[in-house]
Amino acid sequence: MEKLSNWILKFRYGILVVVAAITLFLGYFIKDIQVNPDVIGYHPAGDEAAALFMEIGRQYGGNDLLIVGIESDNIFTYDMLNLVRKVTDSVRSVPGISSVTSLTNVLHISSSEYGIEIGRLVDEFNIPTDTLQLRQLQEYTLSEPMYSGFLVSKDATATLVVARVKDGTEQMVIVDQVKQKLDGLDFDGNFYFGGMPVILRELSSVIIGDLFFIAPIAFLLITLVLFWGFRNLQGVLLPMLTVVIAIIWTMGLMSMLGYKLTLLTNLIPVILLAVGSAYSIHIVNRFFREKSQAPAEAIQRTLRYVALPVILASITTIFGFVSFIAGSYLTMIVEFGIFSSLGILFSLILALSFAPAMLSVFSGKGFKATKDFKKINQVEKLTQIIGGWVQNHPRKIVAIWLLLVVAGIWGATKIERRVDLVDYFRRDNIVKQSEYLLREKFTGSMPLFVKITGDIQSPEALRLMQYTQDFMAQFDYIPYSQSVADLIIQMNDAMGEGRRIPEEPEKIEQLWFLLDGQEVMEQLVNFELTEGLVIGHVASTDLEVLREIEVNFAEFAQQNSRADFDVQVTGIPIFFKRLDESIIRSQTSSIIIATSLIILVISLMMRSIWKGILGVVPILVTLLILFGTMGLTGVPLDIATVLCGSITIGIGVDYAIHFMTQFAKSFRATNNTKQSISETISISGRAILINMIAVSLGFAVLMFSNLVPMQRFGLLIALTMISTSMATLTLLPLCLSISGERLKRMFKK
Amino acid sequence: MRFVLFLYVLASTIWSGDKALALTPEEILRRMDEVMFQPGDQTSNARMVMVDRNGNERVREATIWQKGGEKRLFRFTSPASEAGIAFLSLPNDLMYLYLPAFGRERRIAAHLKNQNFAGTDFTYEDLEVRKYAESFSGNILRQDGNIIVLEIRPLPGITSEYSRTVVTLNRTNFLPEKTESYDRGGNLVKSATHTWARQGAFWYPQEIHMRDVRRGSSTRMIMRNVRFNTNLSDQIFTVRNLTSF
Repeated sequence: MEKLSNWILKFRYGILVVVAAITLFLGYFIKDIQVNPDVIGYHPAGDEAAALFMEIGRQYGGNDLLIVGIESDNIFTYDMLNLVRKVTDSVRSVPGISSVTSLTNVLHISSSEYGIEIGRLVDEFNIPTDTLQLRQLQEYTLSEPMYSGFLVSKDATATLVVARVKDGTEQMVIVDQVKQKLDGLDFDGNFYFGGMPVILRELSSVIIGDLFFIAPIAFLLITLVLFWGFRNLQGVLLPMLTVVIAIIWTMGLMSMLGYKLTLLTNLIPVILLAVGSAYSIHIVNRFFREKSQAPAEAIQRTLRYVALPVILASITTIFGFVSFIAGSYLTMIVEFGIFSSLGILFSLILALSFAPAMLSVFSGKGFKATKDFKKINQVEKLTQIIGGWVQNHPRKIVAIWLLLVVAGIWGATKIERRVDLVDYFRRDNIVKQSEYLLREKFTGSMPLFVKITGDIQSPEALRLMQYTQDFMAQFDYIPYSQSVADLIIQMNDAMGEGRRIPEEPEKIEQLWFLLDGQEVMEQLVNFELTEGLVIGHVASTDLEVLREIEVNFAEFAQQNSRADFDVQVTGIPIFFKRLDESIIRSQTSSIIIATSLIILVISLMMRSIWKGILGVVPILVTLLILFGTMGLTGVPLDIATVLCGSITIGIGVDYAIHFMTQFAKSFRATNNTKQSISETISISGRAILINMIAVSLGFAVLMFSNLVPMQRFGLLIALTMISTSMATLTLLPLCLSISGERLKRMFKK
Repeated sequence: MRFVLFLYVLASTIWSGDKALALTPEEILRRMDEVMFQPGDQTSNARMVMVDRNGNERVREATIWQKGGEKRLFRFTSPASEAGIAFLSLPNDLMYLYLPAFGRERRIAAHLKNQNFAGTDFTYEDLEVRKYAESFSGNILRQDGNIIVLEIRPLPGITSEYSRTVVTLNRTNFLPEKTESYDRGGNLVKSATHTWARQGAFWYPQEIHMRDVRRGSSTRMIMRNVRFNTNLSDQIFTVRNLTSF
């Protein structure tokens, strides 16, 4: 430390210049930061289902559907059908849209008294005006499962224009262009927009909105809390400046390295403000206490006393975040782990270099010594109350914690999981409302793909497709499926040979000839005719349903793959199921990794494995309370709340370390457990409570986020901070007081 | 002498320019019809080379018999699996399809004009024999040397999937060299280039390269063995002939 402080004093101007230069350099890249709102696309390259899904997207004109819903009293009027035609035309004209399906252009195969008709359901050049004709059209359309509930709602009050977005195109730009085009149409009612590109477009703008809205609020709030705690504006502004620089470095580096801002990395500024500010606060405040010394001496003494605890605190926090890098299956969580750890590391480096350099350059020029914590009566009172409880009601405290733990375990069994992206939006969000309306009126928009590889023009392949569709039809939540076999059967019927697949390959080839060039064919078979898709439309995001789909279709694929045909399954439902599995896997492995790492750190630091285990008691209790609360309040485990466990471990353990270090000090001096505990609660309690209030409030700001998982994440972390601090101040001393002589002797060492 | 030659060239340029300038769009359309609808009947072999947006190529071949503007028989000859499939178009939007594997013909509904024909990038409308002067109104956009750029729009009562088509034609023979068709929203959807050949007194499109701008696919229709006025019998254009192949 001596060397470090000398070095800082020697190069203080250099440090300031270098920090300013790095900040300007990395800050420059922030302007180019891009957003990737995609959650399901965030799978590692080795994932088979993901690879197949992407391949299908490339080969079959994109598997992302952009859906425009049109609502009216009755869709089957000349005006409404004409509007559908105009919407179809407008959407088709947007570059990046590979195909559009609507009532006015959907393929329609029928046999009539005079022959075969391979045409359109509605003749767009001759939309019926006659009431009788319109009624007949309505009756026919609603009786056909191909259209009813799929292109038009069963009550005929809404219809869809379904567009496929080409793979690899800028989906968000396309969504904007489609909306812009439709704005120009003369329609009094509302258009509803749905489908993955629309959801992702909205997520993206919400993420950016949050970044520029939430972080400043968090900044202000934490500054205020710290000012309330320290009553010294300058002493608060320097730590805040330090943390803002750390944020600029982290976000700038992310952008420079080409990483896009995601739902999770979006949280980093708030996390750094809440957590990273603590390090330089310690430095700055210690410096003020040492202010009676000459500045050089004050810096040296400050670093001698504070550097090690600050380094330890940040290392444990970094371990909390690092657990996501090693313990997660989802790239999005891994990226979050990398950059949040880096952000904490930057905060630490800046706290140990930039903050002292600033102090030594500007000391005596405006900085005033902070008033002592003792002046804060509210916090002081609280520690006294806690101290009193611990001394006088140990049994009650144990009983309360036991009760909480039992309730936690019970609640944890009720934790729900959710993977539906629409749930991410707040109730008042227009995209959410729109998506719900579409889901209510229409069958599912989540495609499930069964890919059959082989000679797909053969009668056997078509029969296998038909069999697949029959298999899908068994499940209520797959109300509609399509394949080229459907079309061949309809054509065969129209040729007068019944609703079946012809036995003769020549007949199939000639029927196929008639379908050649139809847009729908590009979505169902590949050019070489070696692959075909059966597309099921899944109408549920319920995890039980997704599990059933995955299990049943994996088995189906296995049973039906044979020498001449290979059957594979992929699709959004499978992705959602994987996402859920990854979340659970990430949850367990990150918590295990974080807990083990932290036990290791405390054990090494305090040279005792028992102390290591004792140190995580408040966190483990908190984790049970966290999961219990989630289970009992219906907060689901999702992409953001999955982070709470390890983050709690990383941040919360600092309290225990702080407490145990102080306890050891007092115990060595007094050799009296009771007195040491009382002293420790009084000394550490203040620091822990102020830190807890600052961190909790910082995270609670996420309440204002427009994304529900972020709101939940913020509130849960605030809760765990309260719980960890309380457990540290009440449960830990009781553990210490009832622990055996051996442990106490260890503290004495 | 050179000066005289120069004067001659200058004068003839001005004169021919004057001549074209003097033409109204309607006259241009009529002149187009005159050169394109001279033969009474025509027989040819067509080779259709279809390329999808990923660059995959597929080839179909057919023999085409045509009499007047409204009778036409398309019979596919290659690939083998499709040989014998035939389309017969008759006046009053009557259209029949024959699939040899089924051994029977079927009538096809009339409102299919905007659909692609046999997997090509030509719609039924694109293949229709239409007299320009009777179907379109014209508007000269530009005249440049030997080139006239004409915008044509369907006359009232004529259904078309295109709101307008910009035709680039050669002033010397009034044959369209390039067409660009726009949908009702004003977006370019089709673009075609024509290569014309002459046999005896008649011009015919040796190759039409049609691009579907939206889908990114294209088809080259190449005509070979073209014969004119061989007195094709009306019997060729009957349902009975369709099925007796």
